[in-house]
Amino acid sequence: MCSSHNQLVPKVATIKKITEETSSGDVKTFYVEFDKPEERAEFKNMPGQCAMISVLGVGESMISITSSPTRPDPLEFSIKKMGKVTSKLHDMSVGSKIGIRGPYGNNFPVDEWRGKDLVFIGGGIGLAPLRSVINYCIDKKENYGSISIIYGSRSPADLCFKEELFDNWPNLEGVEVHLTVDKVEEGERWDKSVGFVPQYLEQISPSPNNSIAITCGPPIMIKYVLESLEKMKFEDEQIITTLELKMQCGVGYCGRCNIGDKYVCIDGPVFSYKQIKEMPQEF
Amino acid sequence: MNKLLRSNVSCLLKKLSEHTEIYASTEEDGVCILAKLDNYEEWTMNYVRTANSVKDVFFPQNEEIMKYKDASSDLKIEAPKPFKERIAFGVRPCDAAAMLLLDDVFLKGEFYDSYYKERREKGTIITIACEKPDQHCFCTSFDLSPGATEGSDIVLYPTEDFFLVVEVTEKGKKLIKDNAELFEDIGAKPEIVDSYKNMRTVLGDVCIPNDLNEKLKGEFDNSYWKKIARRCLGCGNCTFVCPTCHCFAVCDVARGCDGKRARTWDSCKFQDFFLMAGDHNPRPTQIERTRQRFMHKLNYFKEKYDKYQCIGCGRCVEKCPVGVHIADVITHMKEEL
Ligand SMILES: Cc1cc2nc3c(=O)[nH]c(=O)nc-3n(C[C@H](O)[C@H](O)[C@H](O)COP(=O)(O)OP(=O)(O)OC[C@H]3O[C@@H](n4cnc5c(N)ncnc54)[C@H](O)[C@@H]3O)c2cc1C
Ligand code: SF4
Ligand code: SF4
Ligand code: FES
Repeated sequence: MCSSHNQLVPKVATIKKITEETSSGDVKTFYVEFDKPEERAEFKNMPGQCAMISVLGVGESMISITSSPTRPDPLEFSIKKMGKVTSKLHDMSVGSKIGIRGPYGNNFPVDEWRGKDLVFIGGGIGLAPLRSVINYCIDKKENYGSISIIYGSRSPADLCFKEELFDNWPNLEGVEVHLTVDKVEEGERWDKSVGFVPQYLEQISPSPNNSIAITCGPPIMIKYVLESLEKMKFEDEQIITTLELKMQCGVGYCGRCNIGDKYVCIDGPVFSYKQIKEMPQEF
Repeated sequence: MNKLLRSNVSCLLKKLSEHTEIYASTEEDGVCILAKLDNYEEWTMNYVRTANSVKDVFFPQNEEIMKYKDASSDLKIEAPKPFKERIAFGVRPCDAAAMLLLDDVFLKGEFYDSYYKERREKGTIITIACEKPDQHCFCTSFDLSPGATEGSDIVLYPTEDFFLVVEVTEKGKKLIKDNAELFEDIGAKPEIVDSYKNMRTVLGDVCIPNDLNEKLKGEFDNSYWKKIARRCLGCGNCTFVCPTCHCFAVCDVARGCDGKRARTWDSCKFQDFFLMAGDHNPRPTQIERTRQRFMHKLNYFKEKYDKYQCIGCGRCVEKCPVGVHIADVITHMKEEL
């Protein structure tokens, strides 16, 4: 790994393109390129890893790299407007300069999943980290069994990555997409499921045989999805999720992202349900 | 073994200062601290523990991480200039040993901290063994002693009119060799060193952690955390004076298009330390935060590095305004569990 240089000083990168993911405008995807090609070459990411994105003068935020390393350039980050840094990012335009350092954290154990059926369960912005590993597994489809994507958001307008959800993924062989929304406003067009992700998951009821379930989303969704998966007889080792804690350094020194003796920034963010059950329940 | 006359210390510091920054124990407004010295006569031995620890010399309370220029159009980011060589003089054995715990955090992981690493590589620690540990000291709880050498490059053992000099590392050996005219070989005197190493501390004799880390594993919901957290004021004193605490915050300071990014010590005892965007706080009350501090030092750190994250310097024992401190936690938990 890349420990040979100063980890806290970011590299300069330029925003090349920005897309709005949701009609409320709270999630945007940023397409980013390092200014120096050699710095891109040093940045070797795997699906599930994150990067510290800097807005100079404002601060830094840990963000999942939503693009798959099988489609390396530009790097893509989907960012929800929350506070200082993310709001400032949302105000930036194509051509603006940001700082990037990373990649940080562990990745989804894609090698251990060879030969297995994969069930991805996401909610809201939680599809961002899943998207990198979904596209990774699609690009290496020969290594994996079937891929099911079960995804929900508050409303049809809040679904992220609509092009992939509606036009790309469903047309691929061995890939299924199941969509649901919490509610539909009067007059909105929607011919898919209405209801929360955990219930919808139980309705679809994917088989636990030779499967891995991977879930990301708001904490409350994850909680109920985990219960549903247990009901459906998925073993703890077959369930993978990610954790989110406050981060400042991303490299294990600033001391604020620990759960027990694990630091989410370096030991996570990807954990199996088995590992999570062994931690103090404090997240 | 060498001896160093007390009257030669100022001379030594002055000579060393030609190439290095000198941080030494000195008195300011009636308080003994470890600070950068310009007048080398002003070193003192009039303290049990300095108010701050040697941590400050290698991991300062505030430091610039980088500068940037032109945030919007042609962004340039600059790391700080190289640091100077530095010597810390008059460090206590416990504080020197605490540096080894900070080394675990900042140097031993997948990523090292460049700022800390450079200062450590350019730093020398000259320790003075403790003649009179006080009622707050409990280094002996952690297999250290008033004469311990862990983490020091040189340890000076006070006798009535001189210091007996023990060189611990190659760096220490070289320093003595380079300044040989100020030292005098007086042959082996192990009995002086042993008398320091065999000294006990009163608190250390009652505060005995042993395998407490194992016992604490099941005690996440122990009501004792609630009981002591009720008293805690959340002032953060305990974490700021601690030579082993390493948590920090990162903050940007902008001046128009230019600015800098700095890091500054932070405390797990503060309400916003774990507060996330969207107002989620995994440790929302002082109960979770008090538990976090003590579990980190007595269980999580030990799981990770096989050491307790405390060296018994006694600062938190002395400085907590409401008597919530680690020696009490160890003593209480050992009795209860
Ligand atoms: C492993 C990981 C992956 C993430 N991936 C994404 C992603 O792909 N897309 C996305 O939109 N968000 C993601 N987040 C959340 C994102 O980091 C926070 O929403 C963001 O840092 C909030 O920053 P702010 O300055 O806008 O908010 P403020 O409330 O102003 O926060 C101030 C500072 O506190 C820290 N902080 C606050 N909340 C969080 C948090 N939830 N997580 C980590 N640090 C925090 C940051 O350093 C931030 O700059 C991820 C978080 C983690 C831990
Ligand atoms: S916890 Fe207290 S006694 Fe232990 S090293 Fe820190 S300040 Fe000193
Ligand atoms: S010094 Fe005492 S009161 Fe202050 S935060 Fe620490 S434990 Fe709480
Ligand atoms: S973010 Fe600093 S320790 Fe994890």
